[in-house]
Amino acid sequence: MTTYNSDTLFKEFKPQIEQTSRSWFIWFGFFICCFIFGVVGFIRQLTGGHIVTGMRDNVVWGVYIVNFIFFMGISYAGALISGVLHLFRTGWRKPIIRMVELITVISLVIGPVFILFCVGRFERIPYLFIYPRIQSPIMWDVIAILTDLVGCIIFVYLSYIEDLALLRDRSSELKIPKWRKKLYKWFSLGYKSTPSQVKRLIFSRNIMAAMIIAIAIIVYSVLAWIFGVTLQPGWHSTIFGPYFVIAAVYSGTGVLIIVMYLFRRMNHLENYIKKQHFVNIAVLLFIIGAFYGYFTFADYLTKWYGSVKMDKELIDKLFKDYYWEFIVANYVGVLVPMIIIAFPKLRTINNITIGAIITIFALWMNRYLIVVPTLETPYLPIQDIRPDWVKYKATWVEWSLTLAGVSVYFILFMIASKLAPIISISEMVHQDHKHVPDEPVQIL
Amino acid sequence: MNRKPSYVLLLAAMILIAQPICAQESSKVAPTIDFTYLKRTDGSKLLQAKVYLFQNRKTYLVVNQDVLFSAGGDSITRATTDGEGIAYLLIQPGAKLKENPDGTTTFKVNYPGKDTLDAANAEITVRDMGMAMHLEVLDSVRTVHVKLFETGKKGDTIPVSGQTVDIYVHRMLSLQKIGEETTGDNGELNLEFPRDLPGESDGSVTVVARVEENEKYGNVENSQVKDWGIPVDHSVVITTRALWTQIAPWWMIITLTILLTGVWGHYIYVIVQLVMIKKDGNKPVLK
Repeated sequence: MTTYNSDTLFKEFKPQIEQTSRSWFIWFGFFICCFIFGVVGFIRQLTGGHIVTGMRDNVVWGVYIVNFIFFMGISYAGALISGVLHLFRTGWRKPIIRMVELITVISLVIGPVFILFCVGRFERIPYLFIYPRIQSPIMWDVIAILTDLVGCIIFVYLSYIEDLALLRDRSSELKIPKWRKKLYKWFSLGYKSTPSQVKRLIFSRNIMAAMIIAIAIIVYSVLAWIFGVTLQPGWHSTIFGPYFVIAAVYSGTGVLIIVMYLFRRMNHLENYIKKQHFVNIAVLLFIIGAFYGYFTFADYLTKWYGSVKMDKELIDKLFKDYYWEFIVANYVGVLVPMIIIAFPKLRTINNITIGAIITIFALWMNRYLIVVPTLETPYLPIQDIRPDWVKYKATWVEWSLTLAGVSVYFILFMIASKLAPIISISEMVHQDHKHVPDEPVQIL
Repeated sequence: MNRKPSYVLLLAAMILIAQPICAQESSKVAPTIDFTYLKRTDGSKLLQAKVYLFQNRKTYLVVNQDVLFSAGGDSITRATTDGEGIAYLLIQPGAKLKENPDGTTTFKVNYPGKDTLDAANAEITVRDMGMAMHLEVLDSVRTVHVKLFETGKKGDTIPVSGQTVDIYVHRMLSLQKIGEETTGDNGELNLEFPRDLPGESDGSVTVVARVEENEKYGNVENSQVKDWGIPVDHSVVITTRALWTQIAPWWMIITLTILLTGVWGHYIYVIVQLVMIKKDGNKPVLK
């Protein structure tokens, strides 16, 4: 195994922190434009009300909730993967662990914002906290997401402390503004790699790694139960909890591959993020993909075979009105990535990334098919409703906010990669310890 | 040019066309009539004729068709089959019906048929039998007492022995059998009524005694309402897990408290560790 020296790594990654390329600014500007477009859409929604969206009496949840589930899923996947890789001391995790951790937090910051877009009466949001009713699954979700957000921020912050201390101590060598130097100093908490500090840090990281795995599973299950505890056709399923968790890990793994691909190209990290990293993550994608396919099949098979009236109506709708979406979400999204990974000749970095893009697209579609067709198939039809209100079609306002969400995702990644190296120097330098060491490993 | 294939095709086409035509000519089918007789509690007699036909493994009901009922050779009345293909005739108690020499009465039903249906007939010959039922408590035992009898020519009662009587209670959707007994030489039987049957809100249950599909007497029944059931309150109970209840279920509060305490406890512990790291950082490093 290659051993790395902190000094070498610092010099290697120093330009990425100090300098900003023209292409970085162009992409940043592009994402800012997308974000502004989203702001325009939001103002339109705020002034015009939800009538400017495609949501109506039947389909009260649309693309916003799909995005919410999607981003939350990515976050939980990040938490699960980073927690497991950390606890199992997987050697190859080191160059990619920070990306996974950033995926966790950034997705978790963006996801819940989409819920707010669904809310028509913002002034009532404080009531959630003033008059909490824990018998409501919505309240479970609020508690769970807040708990998860705090946990993930602590976990990611812990992983940054050693690198921030390194940047603080060598800030004289960095050509960066003073405020950034102050930032490093303040957030590094005076970390000097003393034995007691190392011991406390390693122990805290282990605790948080274990915590966020458990929280990720619980929180995403809670999100699934919001759907599962209702009697709606397509939602009332006992396997929705594990199904959501598996789908989350599947989509999150796909996002990780894309993030790895982008940073590898943008920051020229070919010497650190190698083909083997892609293959390892791809194998994980393959296994999770198989589970996802199995859960999907099991869920729809029982609904189809049971032929309960409304379930049958829903399945008929999926195979009629949503035929291609269903095929993409549940066949293409499972089989194509698995085929790419199954054959060694196809297992190139580009192909794996293409497979990951297909996975993400399919999983977004999967969430759309969970939400929208069910709401279009109510138990009790609303009398005298306009026929065009039964069928959901997202408007430009919803798409603009979706685009803005994705843009902010990239913007936050770009900013994070400028504040500290996207590859964790401390992780690369450290030897893994199964137990908290008596003597610290010096990186400073 | 070989014209043989053309002739074969033409012949085949003619056979195929002719076949349904021939089939239509002989398509008049005979319906079936299920004819039943029931003597009820008040002494009235209910005749019931269900007209239907069975074709291609499917049952087709003959609805809105007139059938003719007769008793002892005398036509009584016409009745029309309903949506279930059933025509009813209720003969009031005390109605004089022509009897056969052996004291039985023959009831007949006739369906005259129509364009696509043949005529159909059915008949039942039964002997008039009376059934008396008493619901009484004998030695603290709730007892169903049934007596079967025929009425002699002089108006005297002749016990009917050796007949099986089924005892039921009415439930929401159908009858629930609670036992069966056979009448003794005196035409009587006793059956213990169970004490654990749910009844209406006032505890009432409808007890039904029945002689069923008897070759000699047909169906004879007697029913009575008695407060021998356990009163059941059918009013809607407000569920305690609903969102509008004042407080969440205890198990939920306890589970949530344990989970949140466990998780946030760890968070606080880690935050304390961070504070300690900060404090350690302020100490001078010993070389």
